[in-house]
Amino acid sequence: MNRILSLKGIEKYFQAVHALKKIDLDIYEGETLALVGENGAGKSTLMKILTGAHKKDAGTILLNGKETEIGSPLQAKRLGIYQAYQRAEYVPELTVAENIFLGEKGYTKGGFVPWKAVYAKAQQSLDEYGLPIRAKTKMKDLSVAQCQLVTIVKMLRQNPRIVIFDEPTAVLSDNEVDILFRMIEQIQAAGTTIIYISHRLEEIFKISHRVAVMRDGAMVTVLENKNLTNDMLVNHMLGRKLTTMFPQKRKGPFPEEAIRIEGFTNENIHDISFRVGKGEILGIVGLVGSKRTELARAIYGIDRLESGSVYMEGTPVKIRSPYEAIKNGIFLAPEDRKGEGVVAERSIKENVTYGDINRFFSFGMVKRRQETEYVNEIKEQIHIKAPSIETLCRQLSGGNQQKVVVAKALTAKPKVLIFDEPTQGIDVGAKAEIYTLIHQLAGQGTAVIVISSETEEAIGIADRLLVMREGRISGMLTEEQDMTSENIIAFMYRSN
Amino acid sequence: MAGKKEETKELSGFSQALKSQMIPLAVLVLIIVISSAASPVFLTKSNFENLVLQMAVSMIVSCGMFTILLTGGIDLSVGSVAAVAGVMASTWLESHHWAAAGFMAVLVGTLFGILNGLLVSKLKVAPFITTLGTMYFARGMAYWFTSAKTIQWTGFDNVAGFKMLGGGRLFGFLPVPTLIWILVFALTVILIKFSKFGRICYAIGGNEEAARLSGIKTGFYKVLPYAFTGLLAGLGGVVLAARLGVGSPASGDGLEMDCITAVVVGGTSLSGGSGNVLGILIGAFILAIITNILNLCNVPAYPQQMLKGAIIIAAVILSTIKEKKKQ
Repeated sequence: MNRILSLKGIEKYFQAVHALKKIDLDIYEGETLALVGENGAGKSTLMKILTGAHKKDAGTILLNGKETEIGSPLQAKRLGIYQAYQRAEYVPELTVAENIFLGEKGYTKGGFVPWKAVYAKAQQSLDEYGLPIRAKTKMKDLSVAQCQLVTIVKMLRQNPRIVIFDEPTAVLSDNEVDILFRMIEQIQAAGTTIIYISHRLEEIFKISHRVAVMRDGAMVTVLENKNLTNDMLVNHMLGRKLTTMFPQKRKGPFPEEAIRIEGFTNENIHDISFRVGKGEILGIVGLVGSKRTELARAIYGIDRLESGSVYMEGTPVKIRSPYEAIKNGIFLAPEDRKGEGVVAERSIKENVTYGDINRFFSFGMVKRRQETEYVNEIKEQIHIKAPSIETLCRQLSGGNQQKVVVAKALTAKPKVLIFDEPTQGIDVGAKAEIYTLIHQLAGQGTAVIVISSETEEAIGIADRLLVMREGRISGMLTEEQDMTSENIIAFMYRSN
Repeated sequence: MAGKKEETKELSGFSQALKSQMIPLAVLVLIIVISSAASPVFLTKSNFENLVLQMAVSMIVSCGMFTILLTGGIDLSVGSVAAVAGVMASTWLESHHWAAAGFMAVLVGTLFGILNGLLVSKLKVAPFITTLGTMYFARGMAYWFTSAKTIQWTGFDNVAGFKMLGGGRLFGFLPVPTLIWILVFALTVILIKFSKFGRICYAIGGNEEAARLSGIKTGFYKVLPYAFTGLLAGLGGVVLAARLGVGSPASGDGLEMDCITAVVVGGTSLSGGSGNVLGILIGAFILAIITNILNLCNVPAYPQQMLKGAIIIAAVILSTIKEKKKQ
């Protein structure tokens, strides 16, 4: 078979993070290659290099045997490489037909839109791929899933040579998944090459010819889809465990209750109840879309609750804003560091004291010496690497920014500390330091909730593990010996 | 030991501030050099005194505008609010003590500011739209209040204090409006550098969501810059009426643009979160000197206006280039 795409030694760095490590991969014309791996394994980064969204730092890409530089998304499209995105982009106020034709050459004739032809051709494409949608409908009147299917049709009209699907079924219902799979079969039959990324392993068994497994930015193996089992794939995805990174766990039980959540329900989460003891570390795991972050946001008073209650040390409390959450002793270190964690244009000092700004001001005026001494102390204590506390957060590495967020959290002196993806995008050394910090906090009696996409990390750090699936608790692992990747994955994927 | 440590940090903080003001400072120096060459009158003491006096109103209001731009907002209503304060103070002078009249007018300005702030913060109306609305509202109010007449307050009884406010000199040499803007600027420097208010303005402009998630009451703190600016617009309007000898409903026209230009020329980002308080002074001086030298060279008013427009665009282009570099 003809190699349509050949990757050799692809490398990618994000500052200190080595995101892709010497990736070699051959893709054959007309095949469907599935790409699997844990969150953060580097799948999306690799695809972004193929679609021109990221520039590779080293390596070569051969397209049909010819060395090719993919410098921009536009160039990737000219080469025939298209991606269907997790979150579809479209103009909600325009009709389905207009969205399909937007950017196409045949959209206008002499500066005007030949409406009849546009609607007819759009409807023809929709019918061709079996979408039960009318071309004259406005995009905003469709469901999220339908919009996604429409944008896929739009993409297919460009006659792509290579199509990348990144988690295409994340927002689709079973019925829509069927439609999508029929579309995929159709383009498979037409000889289009497909790269298919998914967490749902059963889909992969169903549609792919080969499966490429990535782990920690490296290509682990490529397997023929023959006699593959779930277990085999999962073993490759997780690899050996690096237990030395994690500090010794403190042995429970943790009888003193710090926080109790009862019946948390809103548009994202359904009937979630759990408790965390003082000094305990609770891990929350789940796939992308399992609404872990939404749970944290609900606890922290960012998102509204439809029903449910919170008890702090046994007393019911009302939390309707982050301000009230902090007043009641809860602090959230958010997932999106740049967007929600730090004010990048301000100094380490200022960011740290945001955590409890009143402590460092009297009559509205700053207590400079107290502030400086405190921040210097905490900077030493948790090893923030920067020339001075006046250094701007923008100039710090991801790991050090995260430590600033931790320092801010410590400043607030919370009873319950929620970490959402505390080690996302930071290097191994800094990760180990963050784990140590989390354990120290727990050792001092803080209840810690760690949301993590890395199963290994969750197992390594948590005293108990809560598994979420589609906004619900799908399992709770309380015993050390039960906290295995196999059990977690079983709960993550159950009934699907 | 600890004292020493702080000293070195202080120095680095100051040099950092100086570094961030490099471009505006260079422009200021350049303009001074050009102006001194263009007119022999420019460097005289009387011209300098005059220049510093003339920038009083825009400097006072610019201090407030700076705090709003820091939070990522904007206030277009300051000119109209100043007019309202001016005509109200002038009218009230007839029946009230001059201090009471002035104080009430400043209070009206503050109320306008609070209204702007509440609309922006609580009802989440875009600052541009909110203040565009209050701009028209306040201007209409100024005309309505005076029946579109100019109020000649100099003929009223017991207005010596108010005359002093506009044309008096402290210790025989320092004009009172000059003194007022120096005090307002000093207060703003203290607020921005050392107060919780200043600290939070930067946080909101830099990353409002991060500030909110840190437990800062962003809703409350977003109102304050508008209230502060409203107060200063009121004060500016009173000073203007005191200087001119009349309360005119047409006064303060274009004041908002003068202030925004001064602050942006002084290196403050229109998108919020970054800017040095010293930049207000530099920006206001740059604009005042340009107006001054053009007047000295007998350039008519309309080309001057064209030049001001060009300066706004140039300043914004410079600040976008600076921001792009950061990314």
